[in-house]
Amino acid sequence: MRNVRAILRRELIGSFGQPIALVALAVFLGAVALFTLWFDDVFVGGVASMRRPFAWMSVCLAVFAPAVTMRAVADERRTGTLHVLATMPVTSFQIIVAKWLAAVILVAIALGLTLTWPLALAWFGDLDPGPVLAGYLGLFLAGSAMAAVGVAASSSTESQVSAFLLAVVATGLPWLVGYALPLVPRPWLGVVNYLTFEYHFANLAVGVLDSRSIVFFASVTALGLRFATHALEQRRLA
Amino acid sequence: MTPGHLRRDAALQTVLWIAVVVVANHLASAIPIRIDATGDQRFTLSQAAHDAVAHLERTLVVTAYFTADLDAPYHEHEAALRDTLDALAVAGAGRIDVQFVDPSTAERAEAAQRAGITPVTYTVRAWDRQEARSVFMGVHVGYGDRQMAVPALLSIPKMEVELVRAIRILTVDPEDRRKVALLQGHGEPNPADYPAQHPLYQLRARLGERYEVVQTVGDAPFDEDIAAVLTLAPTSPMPAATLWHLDQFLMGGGALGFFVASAQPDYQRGTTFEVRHGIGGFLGSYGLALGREVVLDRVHNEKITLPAPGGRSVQVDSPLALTTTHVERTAHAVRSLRSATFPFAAPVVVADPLPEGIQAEVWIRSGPESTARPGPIPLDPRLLVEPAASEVAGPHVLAAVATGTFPSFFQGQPPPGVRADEPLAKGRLGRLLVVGSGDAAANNVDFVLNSVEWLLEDPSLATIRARATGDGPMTPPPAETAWRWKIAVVAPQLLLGLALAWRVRRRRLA
Repeated sequence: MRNVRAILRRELIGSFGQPIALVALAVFLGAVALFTLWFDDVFVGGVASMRRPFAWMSVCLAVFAPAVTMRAVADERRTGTLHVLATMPVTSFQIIVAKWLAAVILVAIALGLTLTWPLALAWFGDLDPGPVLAGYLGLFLAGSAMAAVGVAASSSTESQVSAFLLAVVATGLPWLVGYALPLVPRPWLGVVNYLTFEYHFANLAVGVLDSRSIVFFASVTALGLRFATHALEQRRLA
Repeated sequence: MTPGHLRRDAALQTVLWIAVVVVANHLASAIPIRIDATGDQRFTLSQAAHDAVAHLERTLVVTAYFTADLDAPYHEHEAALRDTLDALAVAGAGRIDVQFVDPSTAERAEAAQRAGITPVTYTVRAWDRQEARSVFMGVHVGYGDRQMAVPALLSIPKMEVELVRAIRILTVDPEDRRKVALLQGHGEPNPADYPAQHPLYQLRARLGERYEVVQTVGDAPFDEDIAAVLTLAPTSPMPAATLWHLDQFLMGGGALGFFVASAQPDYQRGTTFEVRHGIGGFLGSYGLALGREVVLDRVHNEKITLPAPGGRSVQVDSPLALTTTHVERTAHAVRSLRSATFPFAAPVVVADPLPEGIQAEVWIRSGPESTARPGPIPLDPRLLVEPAASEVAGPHVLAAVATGTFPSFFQGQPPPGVRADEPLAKGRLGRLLVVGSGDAAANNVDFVLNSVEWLLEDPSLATIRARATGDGPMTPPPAETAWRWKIAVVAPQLLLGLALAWRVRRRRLA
């Protein structure tokens, strides 16, 4: 645990010492503001609901999470510091978990900074706090899963750009498929629907805490972390 | 261990992780746990549904004729229906028998249609094909010798209200149904005269499912078993005798609902004209007067159809057909309204102070951009671009209710020509609804149904309808100040971003 904490601290200092985390935060918040206050104005329509902001936040997260994880392992490999880490008494899993936790903390900060949206809606309307809390839980779980996928993508390549693009595709696809279900052949519909982020997030965003959705996001996170660890172990053994 | 062994171990571990994840998801799907976090428990069976099935005297047989394996967007409907029916069956304590029939064979499809289930046709656009599919998504409910079909359940949020509505219709003895009267004979439209697709016809039909709907001209005292009288869009003067009977009905604890305007369009002349139904002052004596102006909204409005040269007609956005989202959030009857349209609406003026013993509540207001203007008003929207000097700035009340012991408009004395031997109604708690637009009834059928339930103090279905609508209403900030709110929402992030940037710069300089 001490090893994880030490690497996590180093990651966070590294993130905030460089403009990448701040730029990612600024772009995330700017994009959310642009979509939910100007393009798809949440104040128009007479409904006090966070569903539209949540939908846009989830879309923005699918870019934000890969952006904050793209350098997690890929940069270490490019600069050669991964070899230094490999000589220390830490396991590959501890390294991956620490890097993932650093990304999750950034996701949590990003989501925390959007709390002004529900506060403003509650000021003007009859905002139900239950779906808001469940929606934020869904965003956090989805963001954590995307961060794990992003760390896995970063572990499998030396190029940050490749890691970013790979992670965007890997996290964006499960969202996009959710919106294209009418195109899915009928025999596959049940399985494909279950595998989409959109299905599970929509459950939480309307205010239903469904064990299936929580297990699903936890599973994606676990698999992402395992694949990242696997890729790192292969590299250390090479 | 050799690198080869380590690689094999790593691969094995990954396979194990995948296996654990698959098993965990399978278990979670097999035994799902759902917690409804919404404030109104909208994903849990409502109290109204529990009440509807709590005292069944015999077995309620529910047969769902539902085509299996539907494509998107209906792929979750069967599971949702099964969940709802399972919950109803549990609430019914063994008195509900649920069967699912997949009408995929010609014989079963015929049986479904005989049971009143209508096929739903929709286009399936898959990656490899595009086809029109005809499916069944309805429910047949039987209770003894009474039968009823819900022809198609296309909306998951409305499934519960549709099923409970059917169950309540079947389980209430027809002779116990409450009686609602539609006042006729003063220019009011008769819903029965309209085609079946018309909202007024549907309103009459939906009222008839739950209540015994009768028509009356009000020239004699209302029958004692009439619980509420609805007056929709009268256009000619009401005789004193009718007003007297309405007055006595209200004083005797009855419920009156008025959807009345003060102006109507004259398409030949291209202006509005005043409707002289004589109700404005009558309602005023109860604390809810009807203004003579017309409420306009140049920002939030709908289209109206105007005659154009050459015998054609043209649809134009008109400030005279205003829409509003400014509804009272705590009133169940209007909580489900996301927006409502009020063509040619008159402002409802709530007396201040109200007559003694009366409590009033405003349900719907126009937006702050609205104004009230005395007639006649041109119908051509191009002549309404600039506000007239006589316009009074909004918001204006468009719908309000009052309850209490109402005073008599006639001061207890019958008007000339009315039989004096009629007993004077004793002061009992009555209910009054005044909506300042006659056409609002046809534009907002759910609102009228909810209003009738309020008039009859039977708000349970209105409660479920409000739940089915989902999120609560919001009064948006006025257009001219909305940008300030948007900046206020973003400002904390901007400040934090600046603070972080400043901190990073300082650390670098250090």
